[in-house]
Amino acid sequence: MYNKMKETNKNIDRDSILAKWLSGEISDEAFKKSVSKTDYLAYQKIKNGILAYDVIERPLEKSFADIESKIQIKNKSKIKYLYKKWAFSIAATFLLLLGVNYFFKASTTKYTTGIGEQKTIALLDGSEVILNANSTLFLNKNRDVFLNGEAFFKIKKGTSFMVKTKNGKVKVLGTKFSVASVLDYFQVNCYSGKVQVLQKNNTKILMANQSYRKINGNIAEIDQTKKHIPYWLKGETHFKSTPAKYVFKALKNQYGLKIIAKNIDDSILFTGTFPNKNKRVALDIVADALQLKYKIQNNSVTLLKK
Amino acid sequence: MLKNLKDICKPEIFKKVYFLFAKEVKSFLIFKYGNVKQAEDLTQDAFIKLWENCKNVPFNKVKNYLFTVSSNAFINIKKHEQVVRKYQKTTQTNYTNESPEFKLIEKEFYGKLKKTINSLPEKQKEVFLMNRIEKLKYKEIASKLNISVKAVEKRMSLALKTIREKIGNV
Repeated sequence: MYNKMKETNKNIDRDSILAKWLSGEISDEAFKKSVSKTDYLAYQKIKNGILAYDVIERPLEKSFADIESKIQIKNKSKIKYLYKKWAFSIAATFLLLLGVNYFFKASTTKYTTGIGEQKTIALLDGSEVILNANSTLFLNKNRDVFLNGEAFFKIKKGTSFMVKTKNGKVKVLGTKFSVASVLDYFQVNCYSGKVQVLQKNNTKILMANQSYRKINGNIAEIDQTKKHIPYWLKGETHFKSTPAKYVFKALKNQYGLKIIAKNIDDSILFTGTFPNKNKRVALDIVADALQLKYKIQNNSVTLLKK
Repeated sequence: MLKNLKDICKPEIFKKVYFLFAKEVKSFLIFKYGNVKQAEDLTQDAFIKLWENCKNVPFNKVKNYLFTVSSNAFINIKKHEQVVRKYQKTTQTNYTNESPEFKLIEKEFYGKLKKTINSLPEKQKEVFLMNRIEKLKYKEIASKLNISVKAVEKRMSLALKTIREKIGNV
């Protein structure tokens, strides 16, 4: 009786094995052990066929809806681009007269965000750039980008793209990534695809979920947890083991605050997250983490030791 | 079925064109390059380019246009990946350019597979399509059909066994 039960249990598991393997619940190695070699090869071929089937037979309505939204984003950008082009050609005339900045040729467009502001720039090929607060992006017709501040990039596959900053360059081949170049803080996060970070003495390739960070010449490579977009796109600012100096700058970028921190060591490391739309909570969080107290008057924040 | 040059620029006509050719373009990419992951994106991109060039592509050239555009996009991706690999400082002795994603699927095999799926017994077919097309997990299928998860897994496994038996030894 006991043996029969044991057998039935085995059978129940055998009945589910194929389903569990297809969904990935059981690994290839485990599956291989329970079938003959011929069967294993046959099922692998069938699985590949099914994966192709999934893509080919995807409901057309869904795919068409994707296309529609991509086209809409592009249409919005076309209007923006024309306007900026016009506005810039006037500015360009003045720049030429003043002989300022040789970097900015006539076909460059400038995008700026103010305090606490974010902007989305849609490129004509369907790529997207989202600027974080208090940042500037210069976009060249040849798709060269100069960034001062922080941005999230979603670049169409098959198109190459170069982001230049004061702190280094990032070369992209169709991927999602973010770049922050604020003062002497430089961080590149790769969310999907591959990205190449170019520095004076070395290059580094980042794969998905890898980050590269350089603060005042000190390089650290951090592996992120499985995030797909930066915190600030979700309304929060996040730092990991970062000197307070840059946290204060971020508070300034989001809230326009002037931070006064006399006698306070602004190189203490901060790890934490603060909201971008709630000044009080943000200040509470930062002050608590750094073991400080604060006084705020209009937009001036004075930090003191506890 | 003669269509006017300008017509593709009308959203309703463009949509009809999409429904007419999308599967074919995706199949083309998968059979020619063995690339399943990017087939959807490349196909969408090709149609978006078609939309942008709608005035310049007569109806009888649409299919050709889509095939060419998506092909070129795929080849560009491969070229760039080669360039990136050059910069990578890895010295692997075992190196192959056949990455698992790019397994070629034969048209004939795929045709047999599709036929077999379509003629699966009712219960197996239902679970199979809910999982593959509607993208529902076994748990979700179980709750929708009011049966146990084990029962769903059993039906799904039977579906795979049926396919295996019908397609024969590959």
